[in-house]
Amino acid sequence: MTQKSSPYFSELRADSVSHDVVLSIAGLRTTFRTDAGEVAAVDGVNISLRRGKTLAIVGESGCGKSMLSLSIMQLLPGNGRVSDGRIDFEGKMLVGVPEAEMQAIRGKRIAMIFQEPMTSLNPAFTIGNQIIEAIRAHDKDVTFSVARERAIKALKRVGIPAAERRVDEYPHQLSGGMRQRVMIAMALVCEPEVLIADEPTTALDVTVQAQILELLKSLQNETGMSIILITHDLGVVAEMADDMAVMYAGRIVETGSVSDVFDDPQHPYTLGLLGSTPKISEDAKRLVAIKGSVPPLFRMPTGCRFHPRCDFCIAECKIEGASRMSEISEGHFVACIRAPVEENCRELAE
Amino acid sequence: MILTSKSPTVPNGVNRRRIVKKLSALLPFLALAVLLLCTAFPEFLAPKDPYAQSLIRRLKPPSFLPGGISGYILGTDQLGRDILSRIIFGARVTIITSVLAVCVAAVVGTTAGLVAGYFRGRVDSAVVRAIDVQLAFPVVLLVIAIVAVIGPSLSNLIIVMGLSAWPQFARITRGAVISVRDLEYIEAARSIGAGHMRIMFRHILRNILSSIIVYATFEMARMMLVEATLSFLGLGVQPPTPTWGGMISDGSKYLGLSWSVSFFPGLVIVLAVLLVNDLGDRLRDFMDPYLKND
Amino acid sequence: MLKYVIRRLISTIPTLIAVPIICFLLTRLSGDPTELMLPMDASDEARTAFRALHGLDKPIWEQLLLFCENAFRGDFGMSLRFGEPASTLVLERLAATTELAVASLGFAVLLGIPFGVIAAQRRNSLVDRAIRNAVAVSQAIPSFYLGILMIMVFAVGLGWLPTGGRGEVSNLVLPALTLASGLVPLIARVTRSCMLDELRRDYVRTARAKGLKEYIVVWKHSLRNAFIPVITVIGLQIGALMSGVVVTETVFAWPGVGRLAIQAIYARDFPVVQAVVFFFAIVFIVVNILVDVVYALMDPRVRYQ
Repeated sequence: MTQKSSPYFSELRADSVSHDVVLSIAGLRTTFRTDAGEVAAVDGVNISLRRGKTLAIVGESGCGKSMLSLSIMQLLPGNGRVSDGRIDFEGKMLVGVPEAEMQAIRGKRIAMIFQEPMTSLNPAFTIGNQIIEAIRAHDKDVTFSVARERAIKALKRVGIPAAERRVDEYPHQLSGGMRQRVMIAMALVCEPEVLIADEPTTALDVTVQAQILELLKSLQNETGMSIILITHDLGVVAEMADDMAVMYAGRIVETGSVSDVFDDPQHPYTLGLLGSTPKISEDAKRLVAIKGSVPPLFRMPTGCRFHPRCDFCIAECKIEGASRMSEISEGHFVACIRAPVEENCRELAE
Repeated sequence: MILTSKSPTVPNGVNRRRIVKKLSALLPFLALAVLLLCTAFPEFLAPKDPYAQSLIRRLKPPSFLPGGISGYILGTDQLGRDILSRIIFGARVTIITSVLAVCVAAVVGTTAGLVAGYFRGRVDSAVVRAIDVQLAFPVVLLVIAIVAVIGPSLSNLIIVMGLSAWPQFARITRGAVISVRDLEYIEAARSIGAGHMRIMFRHILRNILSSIIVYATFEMARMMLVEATLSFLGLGVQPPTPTWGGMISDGSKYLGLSWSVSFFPGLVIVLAVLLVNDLGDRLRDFMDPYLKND
Repeated sequence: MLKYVIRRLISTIPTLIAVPIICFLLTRLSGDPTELMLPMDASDEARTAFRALHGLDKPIWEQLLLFCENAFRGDFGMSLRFGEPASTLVLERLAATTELAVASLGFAVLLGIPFGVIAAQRRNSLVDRAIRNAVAVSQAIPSFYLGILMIMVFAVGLGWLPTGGRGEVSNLVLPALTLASGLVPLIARVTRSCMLDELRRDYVRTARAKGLKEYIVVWKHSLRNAFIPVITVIGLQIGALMSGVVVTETVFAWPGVGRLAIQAIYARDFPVVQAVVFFFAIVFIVVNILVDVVYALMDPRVRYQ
């Protein structure tokens, strides 16, 4: 599905649509109405997803990564909305698109799988019915029996044994790993260009986790789809992703290729994340675990939002503009005025 | 707050709205006082003799409508009796039967629930079985049949209605007892040598009394409806004693001639039941920590 | 599934035993059943013959066994008023009562569930608040009074519908609405709260992420799950519905079992009273079992246990 000839193409900003970018997000701000007033769960995010590649969005829980993914799908809870910024998907601006048009995109061109396979399927319908429904929602001409065949094929593709029998089973008859496979089958049955996977393995056993990741990878090779992988697990990132964006308190603090960020982390928060993760190379232990916790949405610090927890914090970090992005090396951006940390803060890092 | 009226939005309506709000908060208590006064002293409140018949003034509309006779504010029934006075006198039967029936139900049910929950074992399973069997019956039909057999005297009504409602009390009490019987303060009471009776009634019952009172209030509203239904079917307290349900039944035979005979007693039933339910809501909010936490 | 049904059937045994005992005790409540069963002016010979015929001279437990045996064969004796077997009278009126009950359940479900769904979708909207108030009022209004009010307005006042009787569809409307009146707000309220729960579930998000239209997400995915607890609530209301049948049939002169019960009570026709109580209790038990089976069929998690 290429839309390079689309009339929208010429209107797009050059930086948001180099030839291999499927989905780009610029200045995205997602806010929620709460008792404490309007708060921003996502606040000025820029990311781009390369075609056929996997972009991992990493951060602690509550940093806004799930809200970022729901903003793309426009499935925000009732009190939330995208209040600023743009989401461009294959030359189409998604923010402000009518709901009917968005319904045609959801599941068909951008699909999503969720963290909780145990509860993400409807307990009252067979898994076959739920997959068939996804097919027929986007193509009403497909007959039920054809859709059923496609559903069985989709189940086989995600490695469900005895798919012909399983197709008529209910979610509660399947294990967690099987359910996540069903979710993947359902998400991919319409061959979407983009798959958003929100913590797809968090709720699963370690061995099952590896199988699911392996499955996602091989399906990506097969179909050439692009994946946005939301996770807090850097092991998963190392395993799966090509690019990564580190998110903190509603903002991206560092982004680049996985190798750049892992080999040469620049933002103190990234350093902390890598330091507090086992299985990372010896020199990543430069820092101990990050002190303190994520600030609540309605009491965000000024300037760099990480500064109250940061070991390298100086006075300039507390004023506006401290979180401006700078390019450290090609394609490797960091939102820290003290970067590169190694040079500027050597005495502190000791 | 079922009885509150919506305050009008006038430009300088803030003060007025507050006054209306305050008054409407008092309204239920005022209405309750009137209801209780009617039960206690209908002679002083009723403008006419509720039994005084007159064929000349049969089925007259309310006095404020054309054709009404002054003094007969809500009109007259098929025997020319004053409807308002009969409604005032009718309060007594409804209130007394429903209050006493709830008392019977509460005493029987609470005792059964206490004993079942406290001793468990065979007593408990017998009580639970009995509750299940009774709940598996269309109870109102059974009440109708029993009253028909033993005769509709006031005391029979109270006993039968009361016995029809005991299972819910037993259920609530039993559940509460089971949840508190092993708590520390019960253990403490037991360790200083308090007997079973003392523990059950002093320590456990006192703790769940507020839940029971709240439930009893709602149950009273339901009993008022049962009493009205029995009276309507001619199985309540017998004529000529005025009952609200009986008055509606009388009027239902003359709907083509007069609507007021049935209409006003029914309206009073609805208001009275709403009032008691509202009272239950308030009681629950104010005194019941168990339900408030829900 | 079969195991579930069998377990459910076993659990009704105590009630099944209790039903005929209660019916039997009903006529013994006032002492001598001949007082109840025979006309006041019956001769002493007739009384003695009656006692012998019905085994009333035997010990009470033998009488009980005899009654139970007869009851399960459907034999409650002859109606004193109609001179027909009591059970025949009940069965003859069954169709009318079933018609009324089914129609009002239909009304209740067809009105209550959509109202509940809409109220859940639009919390605190006008519909939502109207339903909340309707629940309070419907709990306070006796069904016979509502029936009479409807007769006043639609039959006497406007002349749109007949005041009572059975035959045309128009005869059915007012009694069915009256009988449904308590159920509609109740079903709406339960549907609302269940739908609010369901709409928060993860599978709803999945359904939306598939690109389904919102009405499919709400009316198919969520309602299907919300329906399960709603069925339970409907089941719990069957007893109230049967009591309502007695009153409603009386108000609208509907020739069903409920009206027969009241007529029999007025005429002190106790074989018929016993037959009706027995019959209602059995129907009540059967309907409750059916509700539980439907419940199990609706919920695959129960079905496959």
